[in-house]
Amino acid sequence: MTDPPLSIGSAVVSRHDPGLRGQVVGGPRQSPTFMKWRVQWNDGRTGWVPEYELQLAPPVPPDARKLLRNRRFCDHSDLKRTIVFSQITGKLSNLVYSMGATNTEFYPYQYKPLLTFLESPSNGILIADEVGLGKTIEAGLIWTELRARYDARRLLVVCPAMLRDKWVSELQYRFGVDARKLDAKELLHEIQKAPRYRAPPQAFVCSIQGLRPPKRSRGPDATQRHTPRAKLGRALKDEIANGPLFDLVIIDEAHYLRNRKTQSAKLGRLLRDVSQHIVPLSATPVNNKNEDLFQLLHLVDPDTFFSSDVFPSILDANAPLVRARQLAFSARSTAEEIIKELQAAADHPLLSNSKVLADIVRTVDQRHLEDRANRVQLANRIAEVNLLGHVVSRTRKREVDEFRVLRRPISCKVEMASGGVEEDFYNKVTAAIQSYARTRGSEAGFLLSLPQQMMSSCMYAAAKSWSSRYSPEESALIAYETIGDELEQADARPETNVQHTQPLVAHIARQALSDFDWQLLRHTDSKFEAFRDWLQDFMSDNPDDKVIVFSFFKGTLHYLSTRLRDEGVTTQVLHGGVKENKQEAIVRFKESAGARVLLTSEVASEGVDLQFAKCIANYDLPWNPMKIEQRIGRIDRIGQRSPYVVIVNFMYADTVDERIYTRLLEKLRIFERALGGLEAILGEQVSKLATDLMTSTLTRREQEERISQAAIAIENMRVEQEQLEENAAHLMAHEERILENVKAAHRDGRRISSDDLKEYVEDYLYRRWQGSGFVFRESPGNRRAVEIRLPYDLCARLSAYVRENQFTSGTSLTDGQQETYVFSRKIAGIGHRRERITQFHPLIRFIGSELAESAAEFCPLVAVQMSSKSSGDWLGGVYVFVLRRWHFSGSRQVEELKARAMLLNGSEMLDLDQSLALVSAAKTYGTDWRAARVQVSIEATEAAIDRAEDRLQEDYEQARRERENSNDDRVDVQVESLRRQMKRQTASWERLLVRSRMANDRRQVAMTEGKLRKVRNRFETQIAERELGRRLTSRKYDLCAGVILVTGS
Amino acid sequence: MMSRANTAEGGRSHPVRVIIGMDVGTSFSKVVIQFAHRHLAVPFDDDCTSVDSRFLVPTALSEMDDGRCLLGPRQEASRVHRDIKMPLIDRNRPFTNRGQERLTAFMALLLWHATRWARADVERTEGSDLLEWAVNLGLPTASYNDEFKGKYRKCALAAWQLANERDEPTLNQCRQVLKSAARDTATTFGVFPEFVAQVSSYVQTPLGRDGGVHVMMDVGGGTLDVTVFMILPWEREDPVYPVLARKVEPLGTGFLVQHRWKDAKPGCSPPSPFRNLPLETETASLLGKTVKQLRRGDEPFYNYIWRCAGGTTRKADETAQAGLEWPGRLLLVGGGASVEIYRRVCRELESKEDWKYGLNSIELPRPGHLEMPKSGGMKWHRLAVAYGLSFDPDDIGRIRPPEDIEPVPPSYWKPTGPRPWVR
Repeated sequence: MTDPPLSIGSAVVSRHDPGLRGQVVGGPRQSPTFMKWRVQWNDGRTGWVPEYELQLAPPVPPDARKLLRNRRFCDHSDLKRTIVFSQITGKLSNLVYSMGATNTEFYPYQYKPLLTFLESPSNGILIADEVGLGKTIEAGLIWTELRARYDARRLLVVCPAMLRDKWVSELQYRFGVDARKLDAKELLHEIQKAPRYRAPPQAFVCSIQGLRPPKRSRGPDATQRHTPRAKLGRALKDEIANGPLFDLVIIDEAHYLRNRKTQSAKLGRLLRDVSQHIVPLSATPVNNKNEDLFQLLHLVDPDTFFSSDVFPSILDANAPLVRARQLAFSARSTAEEIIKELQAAADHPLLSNSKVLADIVRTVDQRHLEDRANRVQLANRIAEVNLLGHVVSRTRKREVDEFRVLRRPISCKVEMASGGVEEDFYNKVTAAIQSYARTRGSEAGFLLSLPQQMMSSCMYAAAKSWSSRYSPEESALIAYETIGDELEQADARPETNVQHTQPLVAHIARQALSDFDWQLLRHTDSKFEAFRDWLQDFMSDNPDDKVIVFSFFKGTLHYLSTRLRDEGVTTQVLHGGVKENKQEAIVRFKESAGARVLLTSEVASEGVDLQFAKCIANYDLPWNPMKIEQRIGRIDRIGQRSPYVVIVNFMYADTVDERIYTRLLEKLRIFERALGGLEAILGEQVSKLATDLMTSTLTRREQEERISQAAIAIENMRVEQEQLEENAAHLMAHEERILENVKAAHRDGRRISSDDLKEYVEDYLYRRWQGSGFVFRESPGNRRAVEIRLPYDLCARLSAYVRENQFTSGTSLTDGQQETYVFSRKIAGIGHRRERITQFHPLIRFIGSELAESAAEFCPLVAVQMSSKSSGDWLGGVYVFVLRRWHFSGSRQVEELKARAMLLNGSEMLDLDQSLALVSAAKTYGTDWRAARVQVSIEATEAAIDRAEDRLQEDYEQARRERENSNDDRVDVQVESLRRQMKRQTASWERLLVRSRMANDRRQVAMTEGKLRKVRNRFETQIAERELGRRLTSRKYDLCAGVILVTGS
Repeated sequence: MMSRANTAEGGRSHPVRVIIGMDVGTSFSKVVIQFAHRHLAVPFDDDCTSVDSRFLVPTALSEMDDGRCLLGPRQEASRVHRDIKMPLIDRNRPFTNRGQERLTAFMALLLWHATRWARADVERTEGSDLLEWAVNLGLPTASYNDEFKGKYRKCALAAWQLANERDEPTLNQCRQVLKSAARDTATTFGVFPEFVAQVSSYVQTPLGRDGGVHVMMDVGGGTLDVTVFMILPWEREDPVYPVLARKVEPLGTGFLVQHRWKDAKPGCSPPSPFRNLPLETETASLLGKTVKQLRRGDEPFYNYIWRCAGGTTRKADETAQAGLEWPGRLLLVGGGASVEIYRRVCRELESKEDWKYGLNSIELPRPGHLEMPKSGGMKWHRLAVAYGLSFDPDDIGRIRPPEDIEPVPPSYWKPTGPRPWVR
């Protein structure tokens, strides 16, 4: 039945399944009525097959039409193989490679920064989400995506010192990245030793304080020049001429860099210039009135945000675009109205060169707008023009559906017994502080509030502390723990300012403790008693819950620990200076069956996740509302399972604390809603307030008034802030579209699964290495655990690939041993007993590189069925689809899977997104539809395929035109940006050159000229490279066509 | 036997080969068919199948008043024949003409149903009714000799002839067809030892292709069949499985039930043989005992199983003469594989300290190509024999009996030995 005849070695395909290919390895043999051959199939099976079921494999794969006319459909596995191959080997822009690959729960908004980042022409993005929404995770997703798409290898995280452990553990646990904590000296060493080209994968975590270059010092103190931080600063500056040192720099709590005059900000600028990409994280919102905040945008994209003066102009240019986009969404708007706004935007100098915008203006017509899908597409295209929107991503808690946690505040005001020991002590200390303020007020300033706050925290612990006569350093430490943030923001060295507390403490000890038996405070502690009663009630009402108790004062924590132990309550104490890593301590507490109360200082109020608890108790209240917000933010965050969180606040009645609580904190409704982005202004206000309260002899009423004034001022600022936030919507105009894309990608399974990876490797081995003696088989009971042994030749090639590409981890696959490996889409996993094969594994990369060199053969016609129940709400019936891959190469390479589909008996074509969603769902949820050959009309199917192909061709032409425009715009922006960068980076060298010439320092002149040449050469080369990218080349690949039967159940 | 063609492919006819793998078990029977590279378990009508799965038909024949006969035990039947397969297992029972008629009728009904189901499915999915049939049957290995094979084959041929009639067969028709010695030269008929089919299904999986020493414990309703065999390199055209030692004992789940109920109080009836055996806790409570007491009572039975399995393993090592490379793999299969007492023996075989023959117990891996939709949680391995029989007869292979085994160098046996390039 075959022609020409088969023989051993013939390549054959099955007549039933044209996707099933094999090789004749035995025969022929005569059966009673037919001849049969032994065939080794490429799915691993071997067996005898009647000759009439075989066909010689054609040298050129048949096209879809020929197969269709012969009623020969391939099955679901062929569709899957086709898509997975494109996903793994390509760089698909509409696939989120990091989705599902990390140890994080899926929250769509967390992918917003990533998708914005990928579309951004800038090399960075400012992530400005509110506290508790997971900025760390968002930055980690960006790193994961960069690894998957561009094989990014070197990551540097810079953060406040107290967050380093958190970053190391988060990177390891969530993203499978082994990061090392480094100081300036070690980082310098790494920079100097590592090769720039194909550096091995590395991740470093450093503190801002530990890296920032020292202030330039002259005179006798010039020894600073030789510190590791100074050397690092110089080395970074020198490296600018040599190109990027890091693929990504993440700067956490980037608001520490917003004062451009500080050394921290200088560090930020240095790092930006030696990094391919930069991602600062800060809860600080976009604020066009604040010069400091503008610096963050400048850090991300110094060329667009080159001056704070240009910022309002950018908003002006965008305003008509935002209006045009809103009009596009409105069904009642006319093309004329939209064009009017677009024209206004195009007239603005900042947008006048945009070819994309010009193209939109040219192509909008009324007829086109009658279709809702076209309106959405137009709105999206308009949003794309807003290039400035690509530098920042901000999500607020109220925008997040998943974030619906209610705050239940409880205040517990404790009466001091009138005339008792507590009142006596309180009055004595207050009097001592005021007498000190009268003489030294201006010097002590804000620090005066420190003893007041310590006393309000716990009288016994405060008295014990003051009587202990701490050294100046210890006193400084206590002060720093309490008000360190304000000092940090001032970029000051804590050890200098806080030493002022020492004479203050000595004064209090003299004045208040000399004739006072402070031991009595332990026996008469009304605040502790109130706390204990509440705690007992809470623990008996919530037997499974844990409680987080905050106090800024270490003495209070130890006091509470002792007292609670006496009451039979097991606690765990966490504060700065303990040996145990913060993260480990929290995990220990979380998992401990015994300890139900965590007593912690502010160390646990930043950068840690405590949402396993639903209750925090503020045993004392910092006066700065932002600090309270940070405490609450530990439990009121993504991942909190309880619908509400409880915040219990303890304070002494009729004290300045109570007045601040009722007049300031309650008025601001700090315990009921998140503060948003007030952090920048709160510190200053509170600092002023505290100084006023402590240095003046105010009556109770005057104190109340002063606090109320502060509350009003802060509230006004908040209103103003809200207004600014609304205005700043200009910057986030395209975020809805991004969010839609994320949700669609997740819903349609547009990601790489563990099974995809397994089948990818299996398919490669069976197709390329059949008969070579490889082993690939599932372990019983766990289909993702697979025993693999590679043939020797493959081991050798893989080994060479691993060496050439500097994979540090390597793989035991190259040993030729038979081992069990686990296929996993998760790049991070707990327990490493078995080697995991993820999308970053050398074997996957290797196969990708092998297959990229030769076009794999795929079946061009498939038939799949799926139920609408499991795959989404698709209308039942037979769909015909065509799937293609587009490749555009210009200023950047973009690959996209594109499909067009329609109901076989319908006339409407699904739009591009719906079509791809349908095909993706068929890949994920479909099964073989063997009866297609009988059930579908061949003529009608062929006609539908023709229509879909024609439509896809039109789409392709349109996409090509749009990409040419946006590519041109992009190259314009990049070239302009490079020229500005060159100017900026050469300016200081040019100044030095002028000075050196004037000083006739020939050596310096030669050196500087050399540097200048190097920098200019680098930039000119880069500009030439960008210009090369101006020419857009495009290609389209037919992947497959087919039919999808959607059944009702 | 080819039916007419009604579908054209490029103007030519489009034949489809359909292989029927039929496993007539002591308690349940199963059918798996293969066509177009797919293996499909055949579902049967609800009123004749086991409550556990629609793929299991109780091996019983109901004789009705009007002369018809039906699959499975029926309440309305005038007679229900349950021991249909026993003559093939119990060598002390004669394989009478009556017995042959019942077996023929039962197989004819199974085939009648399966062919109709297959025809409809092939037509639905391949659009062809030009079918080329092959039928593979399993025979208990103990009866796999020329005499039994001949009789069995004769019954099967008669059953096949009746299965192709328009109406369901009757016992009378069976009698007549058996007398006239039915023939069908166009259909390929293969009779294979059940054990070989079982191995064949295992060898089709990637795990099975490894080769090496295997101990298979097949727990049926009537017998416990322990076989120690080798799987030789896969590349061979005609698979041969050297059997190093083998023992079949009446230690199946039916006998376990008999043993447990021998001293039961009056009124405490044993569970239906057509249901899964209850768990130890349930059994103990049915018998009014504690689990500990039940296990103590099971001890003699347990010892028999242990001797059967352990003794056979030991004997295999002696047969190989040069000594086998342990550990081998231990497969527990059959309808009784989930019964605790057999599993305990397996665990002991794996872990007994003074036991030199190391064994790693593995689950029979499920083949990726077997389709059994809505199987109701049934363990796939109950279909293993039928699945193994649904391959081309030349792919199923044959056994080499222990007496033909020659000493083989140990390295040849190793399933996963070191490779020359390994450092």
